[in-house]
Amino acid sequence: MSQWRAWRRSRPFWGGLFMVLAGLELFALPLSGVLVHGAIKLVIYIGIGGVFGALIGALLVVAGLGIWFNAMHKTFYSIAGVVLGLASFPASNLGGLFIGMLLAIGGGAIAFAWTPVEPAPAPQGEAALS
Amino acid sequence: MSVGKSSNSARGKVNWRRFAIVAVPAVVVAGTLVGLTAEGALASSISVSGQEFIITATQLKGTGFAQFGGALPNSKGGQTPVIVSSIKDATMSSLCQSVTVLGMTVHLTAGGSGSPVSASNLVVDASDQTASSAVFDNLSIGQDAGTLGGPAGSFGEAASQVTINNLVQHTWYTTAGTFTLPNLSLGFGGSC
Repeated sequence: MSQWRAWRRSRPFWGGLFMVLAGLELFALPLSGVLVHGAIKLVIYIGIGGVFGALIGALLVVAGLGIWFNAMHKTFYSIAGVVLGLASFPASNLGGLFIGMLLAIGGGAIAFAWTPVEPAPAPQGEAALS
Repeated sequence: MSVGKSSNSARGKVNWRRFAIVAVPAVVVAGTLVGLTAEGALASSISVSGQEFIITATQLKGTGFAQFGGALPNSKGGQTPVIVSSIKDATMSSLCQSVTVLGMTVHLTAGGSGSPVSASNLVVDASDQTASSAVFDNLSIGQDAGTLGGPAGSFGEAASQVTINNLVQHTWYTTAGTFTLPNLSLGFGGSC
């Protein structure tokens, strides 16, 4: 349990989590019919709107996981998450009816703002900024 | 994964000034996007499937209308019969759409006060559809659905123009290439 807490505290956990949730929501809205029913025919129906929703959702999930497992590059992933969240508004169901867009912007900003507290890994902190 | 790294014990916390550096411009851009959409200047792409939602409009006018019966697979492994309507260009007055996402009901209204919503390449799969009146121009009833993009050999109908008043639809699947949504407003709770 304490290991889990240490893991969580050693990276921008909540920012990454919000981005993953945003991605899943954007992904689910156009495609849940396809995933639940296994209806491949629906994909052809859904067209470019659904494809954008799936693409932006998948990229947000990847960026969120990147923040957890590759926290070194969190600046890149967090900015990508914010931009993807903004892009989802015109491209995918008004940003998953606002929910996904707000989660992505909030998560990305929190991940960007996360900074290591201890003075020891100072060179690491500098690397993360660059 | 990287748990065993030197950063194992490195704690961190959120620096709220850094948070604002990203969050404030992002919210400004998001607000601009919402504003442009609400003015009808920015089109958005809508595509929802898998859950039932309700669409109502006081009036729908469209050109290039086609309708035929179809079926969507449902979660019980069977088929739900649906009415597939496709409209090439449609305008809708006082559009209201409500959908339940993650246990929350979201309702979206647009196109009130004289500036209607317009949609292109609209396809709706409805399980239930009612209207107070409907006018079709150049209606051909009994056209093979295969010629309209549906299953060949089944019943279909097509019209060059259509006007439907007080439309209420329960739909399972909606998509449109572009939607312009003037006077957009979004609320939680309460369906149309």
